[in-house]
Amino acid sequence: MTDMPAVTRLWLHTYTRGLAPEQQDRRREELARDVHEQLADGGPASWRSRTSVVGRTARGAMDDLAWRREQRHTMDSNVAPHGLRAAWAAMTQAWFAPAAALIVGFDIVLAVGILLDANSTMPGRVVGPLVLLSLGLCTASGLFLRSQARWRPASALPGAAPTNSNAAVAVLLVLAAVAAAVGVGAGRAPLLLALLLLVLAGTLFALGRRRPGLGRAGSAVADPLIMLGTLPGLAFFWMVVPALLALVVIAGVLSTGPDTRRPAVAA
Amino acid sequence: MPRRRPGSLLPLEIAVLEVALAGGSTQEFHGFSIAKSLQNANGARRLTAHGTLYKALARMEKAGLLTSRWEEPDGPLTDGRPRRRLYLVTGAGAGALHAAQRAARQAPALQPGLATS
Repeated sequence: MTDMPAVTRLWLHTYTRGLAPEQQDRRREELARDVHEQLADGGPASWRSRTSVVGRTARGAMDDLAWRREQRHTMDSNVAPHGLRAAWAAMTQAWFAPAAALIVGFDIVLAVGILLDANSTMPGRVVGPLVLLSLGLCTASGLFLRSQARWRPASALPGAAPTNSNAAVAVLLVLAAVAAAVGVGAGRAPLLLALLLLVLAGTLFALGRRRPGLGRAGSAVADPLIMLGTLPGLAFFWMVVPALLALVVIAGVLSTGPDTRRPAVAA
Repeated sequence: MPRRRPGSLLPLEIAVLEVALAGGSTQEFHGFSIAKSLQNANGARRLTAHGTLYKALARMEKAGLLTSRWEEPDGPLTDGRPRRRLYLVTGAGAGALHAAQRAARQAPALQPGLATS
């Protein structure tokens, strides 16, 4: 690429930056050979040839950008979304997901209600909200993991950074630590929850090490997590609606897999 | 850029297929050679722009009209030159060209260039 005019080289590196290495290398090498041949054809020292190369670059710039857009679109279609898009994907991944989101909301509202209830006694006034929030977070984490498992792992893309389940493991460990801390002063239930979360974290960590990237391994841990959050709804069965939502979520989790409604991926 | 109808070919794609198949259906070609051939065939003053040419080749490969491979790394690498990406017209590509030429003959007023080819 040393004989390539600087303008062409700069433009080539600019519009191929950030693409999948396979596509990036192919375009760079292919164009380097093209320019090499053109300069050899017209004489490497020919001012006219170098001007012609720059002209070809300039005239094709819009097509270069369109090509880049297509490549980026293909990359984005194969990688799990981030941020708000990830949250939306988690909420809309399956027919039961909105019900699971309502269950999370129920857990939070219940936690706030206990916290604000002046008549409730200590330590239940602190323990209850913590357990409820932990369970709600379990369901939210489970929905997220299940949503991520629907996508092709980023590590499968050539040169892409591997996605692993470390974040999920960290969340579970923090929750387990909180539950254990609460359990020391408040009884067995939070300690059992801490133990369960530790087992889940260990399972996810082991599966993640065996196969980097969230795939079916992530889903296997996600499903129990989602169902954990339905426990308060079932416990307050006399409220009817949360219990029904909990049953809907459990039925949905058990009857569907992450691949049942896989999003269309651009070819 | 004209909007592509499903199954139809863009003018540049037709030109690429015509030039490529002029050398025989088993003749491989590479980017600069096809740009040079297009220039000669059309009597054009300038070579096809990089972006236009390689975007078209990528699109045609994706559509199954072409296949491509890197040339064997014996000669060029020892010379320190970049490798060539070699393209070959597929049966689908040849078929698509014939269909386009047939359509052009039926409507010569719309595509006079093709009608004479």
